[in-house]
Amino acid sequence: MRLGRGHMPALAELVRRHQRRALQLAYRSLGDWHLAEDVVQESFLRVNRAAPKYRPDAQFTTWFYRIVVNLCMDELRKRRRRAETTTEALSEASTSESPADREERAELHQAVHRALEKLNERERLAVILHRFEGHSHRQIAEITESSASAVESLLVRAYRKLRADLAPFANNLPEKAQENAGPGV
Amino acid sequence: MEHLSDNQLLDLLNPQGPPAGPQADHLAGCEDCRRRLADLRQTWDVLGQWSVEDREVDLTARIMSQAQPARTIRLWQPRALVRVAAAIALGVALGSLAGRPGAPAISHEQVSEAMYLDVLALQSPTGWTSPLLEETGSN
Repeated sequence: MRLGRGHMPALAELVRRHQRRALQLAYRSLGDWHLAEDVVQESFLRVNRAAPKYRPDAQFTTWFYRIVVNLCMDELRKRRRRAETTTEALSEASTSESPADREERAELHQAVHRALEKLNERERLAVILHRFEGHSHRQIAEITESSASAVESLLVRAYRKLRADLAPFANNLPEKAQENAGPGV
Repeated sequence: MEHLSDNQLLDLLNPQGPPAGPQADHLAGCEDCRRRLADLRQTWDVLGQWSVEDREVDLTARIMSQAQPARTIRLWQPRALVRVAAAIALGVALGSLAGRPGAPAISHEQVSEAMYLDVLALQSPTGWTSPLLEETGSN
């Protein structure tokens, strides 16, 4: 790994390549863009500091995501201790939408976010890695340094809770959502 | 075949999950599992509605400004030792030069002027040089 030999352009390339997904992961976990940026920045700095000791026995992305997830976990725990609530608007406005559609979408975003907030940190991060980052159970286990069976239990519990909270919205999904539902069977 | 577990159903929804295989056959004949899968799919779809726009931010410059490798000088390294010794020697030399009292060059005119004043002092009517003359005379 070139970064391990103090090759700074290699770090810049890593940042350019991975920052977008890392930011989305951190934002979905924390619900705050500024906090997400801080977490991602600190993650890359830790990668840089730890690079000389890095042994490529795991995929770089797994190692990197582990750092991001751990920092997000720390932030979530701090927040829970402070009993803060996220106030940042979670709806990402799209200029092509009508005000009614935008309002409906904002309501759905808030509901999803609230439902995720009700999960504990580990369940929440597992769902985010599974549903939004597309990681398999085994990958999530590697990232979170848990056993595969522990991740499976987390996911099953989390999806049960989410199903209860999000059921009212299930019938109002736009048709497009049904098409984007993944491969299924 | 037993009913599918929740995890198997989750795998069926996840594009990264394993291929359906024999589970698809079971689903075809099991209404209960199909219903459970449909429930799970609804939750999956609602979650999928939470889209996050790309953040128009590039953290590269911000990260690089803080990630420059720290330059640590290790005194035990020979090159560093030479540098330190040279710096000390230079400091001593400059300090010595700066601290030395000024010694301006004395011209011949200045010497002769001083000698002339000495002669005048011997002939001074005020007598203020007499102690000196006495002392000189005693020698």
